Amino acid sequence: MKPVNRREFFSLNAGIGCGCALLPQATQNDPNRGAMGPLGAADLYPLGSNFRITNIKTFGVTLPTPEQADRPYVFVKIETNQGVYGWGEGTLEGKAAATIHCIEDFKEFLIGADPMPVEHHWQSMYVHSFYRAGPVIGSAIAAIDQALWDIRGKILKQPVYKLLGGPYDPAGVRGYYHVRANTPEQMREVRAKAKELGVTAIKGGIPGYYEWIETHATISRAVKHVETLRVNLGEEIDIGIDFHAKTSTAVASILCREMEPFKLLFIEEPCPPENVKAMQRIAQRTKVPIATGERLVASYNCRELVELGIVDIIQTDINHCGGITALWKIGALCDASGVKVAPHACEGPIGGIASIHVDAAMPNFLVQEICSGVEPGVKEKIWEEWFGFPAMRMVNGKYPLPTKPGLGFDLDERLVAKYKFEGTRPMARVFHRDGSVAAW
Amino acid sequence: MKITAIEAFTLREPGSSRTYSLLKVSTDQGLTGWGECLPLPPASLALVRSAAIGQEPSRYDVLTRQLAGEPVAAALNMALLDLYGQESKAPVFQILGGPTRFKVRAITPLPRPQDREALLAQGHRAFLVPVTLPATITSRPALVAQIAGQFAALRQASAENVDFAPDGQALLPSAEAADLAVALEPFHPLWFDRPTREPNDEVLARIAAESTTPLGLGHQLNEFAPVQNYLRAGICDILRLSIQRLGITPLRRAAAIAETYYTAVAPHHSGGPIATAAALHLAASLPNFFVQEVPAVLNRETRQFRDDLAGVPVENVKEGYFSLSSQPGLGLKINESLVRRIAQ
Repeated sequence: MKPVNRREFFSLNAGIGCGCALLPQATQNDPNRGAMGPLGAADLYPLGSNFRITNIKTFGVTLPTPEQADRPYVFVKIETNQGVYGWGEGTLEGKAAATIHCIEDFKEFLIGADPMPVEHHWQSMYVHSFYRAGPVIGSAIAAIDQALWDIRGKILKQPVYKLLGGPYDPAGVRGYYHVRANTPEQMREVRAKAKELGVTAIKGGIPGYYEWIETHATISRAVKHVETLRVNLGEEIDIGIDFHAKTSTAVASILCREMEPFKLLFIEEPCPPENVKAMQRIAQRTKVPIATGERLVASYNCRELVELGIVDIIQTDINHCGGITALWKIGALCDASGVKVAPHACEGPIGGIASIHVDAAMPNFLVQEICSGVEPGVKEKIWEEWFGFPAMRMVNGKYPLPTKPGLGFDLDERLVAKYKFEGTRPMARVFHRDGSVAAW
Repeated sequence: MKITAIEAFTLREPGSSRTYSLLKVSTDQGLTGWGECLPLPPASLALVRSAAIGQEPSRYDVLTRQLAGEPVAAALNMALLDLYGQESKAPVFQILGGPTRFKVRAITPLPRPQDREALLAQGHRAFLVPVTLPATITSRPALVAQIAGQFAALRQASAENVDFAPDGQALLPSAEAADLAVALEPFHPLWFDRPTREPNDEVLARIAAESTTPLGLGHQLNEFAPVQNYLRAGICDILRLSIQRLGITPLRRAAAIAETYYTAVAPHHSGGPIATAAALHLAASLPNFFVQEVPAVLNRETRQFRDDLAGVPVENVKEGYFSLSSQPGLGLKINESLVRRIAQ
């Protein structure tokens, strides 16, 4: 007798329990029913395309830039039997190798399958992973999902934002750069450059690390820092301030309240994301719009924040939340409650470009991040070398919409492979003065 | 591809009392798209023309959104997706990321108990059964027992593969609705549709708390956003938003919200075959879809009209399921001369 695996064991017991036949008729007749892998999608083939996924290549990419040390990019290239291929990104800061391996774990879900039914593949990866998804599985699904949308767009000869019913603004997608300035003089230079570029929003942070309760000096320094930003960037630029979840509920409540006079666009991640009621406590004590979401995976994990009216802005990241499919659904969830979407993007350019497509198709889109300054650096030059255009650089304050089918770029894998994977790098490890673990 | 002309037609279906409006959207490339909605007020045509003429059908979501709350928005949404699918040579469900299934479960109203055999012969296996209040004064226990008795009889007379969903039609008083929800539990109805009037969340919450019978709500909504309240309040197990009132994309947004509550949609439909086709494409693009309602057509003249109008057999049901077409757009071959002949 052939050994019974766990899944069959449960089916057998279920069959006995309800007094029906041991296995449903269909299972007996059709060896594909219930099978793992692309065979599970075989019933959908008559309604699908003649394209089949033939290969899934993963790329770990370490750029020679010090500020990107903790985030070697994770790219995926999905190839088909008809020469059409798609690119996606699943860069997960500090966990590059884990994400690469997780993408490879999904190979048997996809090799041999039709690339078109992306919702089917998304559901299969999420549901059949059993544990649903945390950041590693979420980022792996994100990479595959983006690549499938790239393929879908190329097959249908349409840019992805059109498949989603957009664009809401044909001129492009509003964005912001990071301030990257410490002195009033530098801030005024950013202001001048932003004005020249038509950039209408800038994001900054608060200095240092924060203990559970903070001192007069630390609180005053943080408030003064943001005040200096507002004074030197001027009233015409929207300013977002990222607390980066390094503040406790108690400290964030004080800081948010005291920053109200600076008329911020939002305060981001005032505390870590696991405890929705803790964030609610902060939100209830301030008038500043609260933004969060870069660490959240899938629409399921955004529900409570929206349902309870805690956030004004959701910032899920297309590289972690589950790609284009998931980001669009999060947008829909937020839309019913008047909550805006301002996707996080601090990884590579593929996710950034994928995000632009969804942004362009959301009525409740606010602004798109990219971790760049007003002046392009080494990283941005490499991106331009890859794509042949200045990827994720704004024109008149907006990222232009790609016009080509799919995600809208051609990327030669040899250009990517030039930057070899130098292994996972941990994210910054920081400590308080007494040696205890701090958040940054 | 640009939209060049839009026409509207209001039809009264031969042999039935149904009335619906159709929208025909023409383009500079000779393609035409069709959509359906509730009967349109005359002012709608000017509104939709000024919003959509000169635009690209691919901006289907943007243009639908501009007309949100107007009955014509649903028809425009379907027609634009029909056009965009034809332009891309893809069925609408494929534009939207599907298919997620290869056939679509069907449910139809059971106008009278004696219609069951005819509808079973048409391939139906699931029925929405109207709950009717007696004309004479009846004690509350007797009333509930009487209605529950009707379901017990239906259940007993039917094969195991036939299912029922009682439709309260929003007519029952709250207490009777709550009692009935409990009384129906042994018969495993698919769900209890419109158990009482919406949208008093507190009354519905009491019914939901007292019974495990799933509750279906949302027929009357003209926008998708209120589903957030139904779901947050824990009063809805299946969303019954109307395809004819909302169109495809707004229903997709409602479904995306429902997914986070582990809840499905079962779109309401009491109109014509074009909206049925639109609903099937929607169903084939959603992960959290359960069943599609289609009107019960028992009259031969009406059946013939609906099939002739669509030009393809959209509404054929076999063993309780619709099949899906992989033809581009909505996959219809609208008989335009028939439309013009019947239009009021």
